[in-house]
Amino acid sequence: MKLLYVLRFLINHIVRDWLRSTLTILSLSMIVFIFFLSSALISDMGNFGNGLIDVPQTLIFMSRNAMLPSDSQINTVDFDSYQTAIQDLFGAHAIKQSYTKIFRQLHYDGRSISLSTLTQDEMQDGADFFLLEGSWPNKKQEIVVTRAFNTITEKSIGDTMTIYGSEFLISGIINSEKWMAAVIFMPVSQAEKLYQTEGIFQLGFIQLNNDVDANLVQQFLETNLNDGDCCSVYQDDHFVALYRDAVKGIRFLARILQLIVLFLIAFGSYNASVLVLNEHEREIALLHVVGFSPKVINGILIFRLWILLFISYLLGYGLALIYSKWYLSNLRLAISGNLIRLEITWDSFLLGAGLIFLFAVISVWFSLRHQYTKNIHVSLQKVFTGRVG
Amino acid sequence: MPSPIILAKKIYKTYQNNTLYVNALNGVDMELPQGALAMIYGPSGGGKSTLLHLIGGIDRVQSGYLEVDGVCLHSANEKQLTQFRRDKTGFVFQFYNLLPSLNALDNVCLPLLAKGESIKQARRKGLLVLQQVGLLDRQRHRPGQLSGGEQQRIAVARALIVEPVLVLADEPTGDLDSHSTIELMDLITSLNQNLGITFLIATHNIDIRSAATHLFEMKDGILKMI
Ligand SMILES: Nc1ncnc2c1ncn2[C@@H]1O[C@H](COP(=O)(O)OP(=O)(O)OP(=O)(O)O)[C@@H](O)[C@H]1O
Ligand SMILES: [Mg+2]
Repeated sequence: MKLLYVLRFLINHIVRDWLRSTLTILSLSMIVFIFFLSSALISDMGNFGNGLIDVPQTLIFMSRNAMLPSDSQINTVDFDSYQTAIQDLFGAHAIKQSYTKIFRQLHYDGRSISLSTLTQDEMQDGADFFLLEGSWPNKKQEIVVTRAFNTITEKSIGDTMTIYGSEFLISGIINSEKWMAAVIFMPVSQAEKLYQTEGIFQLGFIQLNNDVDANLVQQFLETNLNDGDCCSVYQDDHFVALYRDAVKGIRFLARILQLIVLFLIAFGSYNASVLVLNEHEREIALLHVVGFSPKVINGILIFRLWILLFISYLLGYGLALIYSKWYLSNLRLAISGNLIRLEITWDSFLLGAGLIFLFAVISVWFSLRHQYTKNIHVSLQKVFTGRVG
Repeated sequence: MPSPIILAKKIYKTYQNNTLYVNALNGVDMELPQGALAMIYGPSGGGKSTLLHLIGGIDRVQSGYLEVDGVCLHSANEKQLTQFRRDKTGFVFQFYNLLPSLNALDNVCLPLLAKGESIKQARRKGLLVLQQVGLLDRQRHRPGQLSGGEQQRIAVARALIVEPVLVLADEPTGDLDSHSTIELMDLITSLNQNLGITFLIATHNIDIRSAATHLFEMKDGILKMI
């Protein structure tokens, strides 16, 4: 009953002060909006890094002079000689499996998208790939795409697309924790025909058996077989670590952005609180005179700020939701094929809500401490005698 | 002999603005019996408002003895001062007495809400005091919709609602025309005579002087009876 009365009074009060209230709400809701987007960005970055699985004991081969996988050119003869060398030195059973991938970077629809090949083994649900919808390519001119590709381009099962002059039909959508980006996959045979590069590929993979020391093999290959242009040898988990490091930087930046935003919210609510104190100094003094205790007045002011922040928060949240929806259906930005989803989560909603309401209490407390301990009498005098300064 | 409602001995008050010290009160002695209608005159800056604020428990004395209706204000803590303001006194200022976002009735009810009474009960009492000041028909009006004189009478009603022993008024007629001034003073006089409420009024207005039972002059921080 009393609470409702105070609520009605405060809403009335806020509405009467509509211009200042609107400005406060607008500026705070913009900050809240950025808070949600930066939170979403952080979780996007987290997904990129954490999604990676490393396949242990796997060596990756790439041309020594290549900056990007798509620049790499390895021929079968060289790759075979590596395998022979490994078997010669580490035993006939040192290699568990080996395979190669043709890898291209396409420009599709104004975006950079990867194309890679699938081995026959990979074209069944396994550790690396999962079929989400449709089927694996079983006819000529069929491809599968990742979910990210599907989301970014809105191309789906049954759609066709032209790659390097040929028409391909999307037969399925797959998911891979290792290939979170927008990627098109086709069987090796199709890719070799399409690019007419029999005997040449971009990436070679050799998975060693568990009893073989991968570090030792890598060192051996790097020091003894580095004549000619072929090849740089990486270990898969190093690759993953590199990638995670790269993403970590962006994630760190997003976190800093979020911290700045939190600071801005704290500052904004402090500001709003000081503004209310100054603009309504007379009313506060009056409440004091008629016998409200400082505690109750504090409570009323915190409550008032809460209402403002609550409205701003909901508004900022709503704007972020709308923007996120609009973004997903129109912009869909990607970092090297990794879709930035900008998903506004319930978690960040709760986190933000908790922090903001805490800030409100602290900022009113701070701004009032000043008011009461030093200034209440002076402020009363100023107000009721019309004396300024 | 009944004890005085206000008893002040040698009270001092100095304001400090940076390095500048202003002696607002220079040893004020005062004794006012219950049921008085007292007025303080004097030049601007003489210390009238300062004294009223001290007696009303809004500000604190620097040194000296100040007792109002049995409460020793010179030694009261913040909580006791709040309680004193709430239960013993009503205040009427020259202007800006009311919260603009509340209607007349709710403004009048504020002291009771501060006391923790229920809204229903507060409003019932509020209607009674509005009737006493003759503004029952304005209960739903906001301050902005009321004339200056009506606002002052609402402020008086708010002061009355706690059944105070003492009402302090700082230039209550300062913003009023002669007609409203007469209305307000009639109200104050009748409340003083019929309910026995003590009034202490700081004013420049010579015309209302005749209503006073006690007259003081305040000059350079010194109070004299006249
Ligand atoms: N907060 C303050 N800071 C500094 N000086 C003050 C403060 N309040 C009052 N004074 C000074 O104290 C003295 C007394 O002021 P006070 O307001 O009590 O006078 P007054 O008699 O009410 O004047 P008026 O008739 O103009 O209302 C003045 O010299 C004034 O400048
Ligand atoms: Mg004054």
